[in-house]
Amino acid sequence: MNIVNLQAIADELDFDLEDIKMVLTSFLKDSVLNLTNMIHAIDTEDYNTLRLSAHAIKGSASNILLHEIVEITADIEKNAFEKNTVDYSKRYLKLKSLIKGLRNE
Amino acid sequence: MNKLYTILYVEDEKSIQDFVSVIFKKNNIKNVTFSANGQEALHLYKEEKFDLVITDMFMPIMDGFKLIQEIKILNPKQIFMMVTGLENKDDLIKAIELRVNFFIEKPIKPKKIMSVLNESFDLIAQKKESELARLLLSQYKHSIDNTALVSKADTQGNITYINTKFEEISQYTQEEIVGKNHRILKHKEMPDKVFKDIWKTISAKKIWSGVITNTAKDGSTYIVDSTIIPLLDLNNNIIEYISIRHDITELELYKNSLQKQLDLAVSEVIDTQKEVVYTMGAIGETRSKETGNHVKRVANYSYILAKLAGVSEANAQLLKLASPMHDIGKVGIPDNILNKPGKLTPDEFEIMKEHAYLGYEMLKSSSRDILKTSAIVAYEHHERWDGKGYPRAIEGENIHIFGRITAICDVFDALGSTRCYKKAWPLEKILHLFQKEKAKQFDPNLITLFLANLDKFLKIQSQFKDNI
Repeated sequence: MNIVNLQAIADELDFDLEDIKMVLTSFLKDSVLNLTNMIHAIDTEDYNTLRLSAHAIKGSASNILLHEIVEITADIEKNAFEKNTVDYSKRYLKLKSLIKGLRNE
Repeated sequence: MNKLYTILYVEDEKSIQDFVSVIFKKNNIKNVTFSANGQEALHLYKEEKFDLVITDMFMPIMDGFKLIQEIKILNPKQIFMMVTGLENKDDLIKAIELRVNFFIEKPIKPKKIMSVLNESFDLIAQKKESELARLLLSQYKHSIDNTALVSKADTQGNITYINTKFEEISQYTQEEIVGKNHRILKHKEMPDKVFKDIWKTISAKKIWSGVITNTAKDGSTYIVDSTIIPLLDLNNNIIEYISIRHDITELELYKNSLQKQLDLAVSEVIDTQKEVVYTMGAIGETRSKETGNHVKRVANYSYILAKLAGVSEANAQLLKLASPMHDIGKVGIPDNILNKPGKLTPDEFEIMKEHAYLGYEMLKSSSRDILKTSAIVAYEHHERWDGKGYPRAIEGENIHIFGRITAICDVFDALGSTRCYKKAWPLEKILHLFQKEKAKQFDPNLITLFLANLDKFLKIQSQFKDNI
């Protein structure tokens, strides 16, 4: 995963670095529940919950310019909306990894 | 931009709430309440008023669409902003159908949300101004309705509205009077020209103010101080007329009563003055064996001759009151001279002539018009047109018109009256004297007028005949 440049994001949004760190922390907290809901939905093939969980993560990530996360959640949301039988687990793991990477920064 | 407007922001993702909070904080937007779902937001809305509701579309428990529907039931005029992606057109159409006022596109861009927020604040400001204007209007209406009679009329003058106060004073109900012309209230004593003036003024888009006497339903009279204002549309055309009236009936009645009392008092003062003047005149005449009716006749002759000579009504009246005093100076002449049966010696005549000056001296210092006029008459009624009179031997029009008039009237009456020491002259002899003395003793124009209107003077003579 690419290293996220928080200062660049802060500059882009005209935020202070502290602000962007605060929003990111909040995003990570929200993601815990959304990721839990997502894996459960994958296991039970609950496409609606899968779509809404992906949509929620996508919405938050897009505001703070986390483009890789937006890209993968948009893909999950679209496939879940269309009820496509794609490899959701693989996408989930990638997403989880991206979020974990953020947490480590 | 008023940054103190209250905002309810409904968003289930805490990270988005935090993200928006940073934007609002940086832009000094205060008074923002966050809620995590529609149900909680609705509960908050019932507790508190918000100028703006911003909501996400999709949330657990109650989504944004349902929340908007519920709030619209409580307040159809609430202003909404919806945060939305553009993926699903059906959701957008649904939001438009719910009359959502503003949309924020996801992802939320700080500049974009502030721009839309500013637009929404402008709308809130307009709404508040409009609400305030309505509130003020309602308060103005309330205050006017409680103090004045208000009516509205169409461009033809037909009544379209009356308030309760109008109903109370006119005794007509809305149902009875709406559709009728204002003429229904016209009082018989109100001149038509007043109403023509009203129409001329208000048709020219000007305000008319004045006092109108009206007739109530039971035929009684009420008086109103009225202001009629034409109401104009944006194209400056008259839409209707509004009339605001204050009932001044009691005030007018009181004013009339005071005026009557004042008129009576003034009349009494004038009557008293007249009586005093007649009495004083009579004193002078009595001392010289004249009768009380002499002064009355001279007074009336003087008035008629003054009017014939073109003197104003007010001055002719003044002369009528003043001329009886023409011989008041005789009170200062010794009895042996004043009442001497035979002809006066030159010295005695000189003393006799002093009565003109004495009368003037007695009256000249008064500030009352009647007495000032009396002073002139006393001083100048023995002057002659040819300048051979006394006491100053002035001539022609240098002699005051009042003096010239009284001279003729006094001589006419003195010669025409019988006294214990003399008989009355026949009229022909008097007229002959007047012709002879025209432009000598008397003003020729006044003699001409006198002779041309002799019948009027003879009528007075007959009316105030002496009882001998």
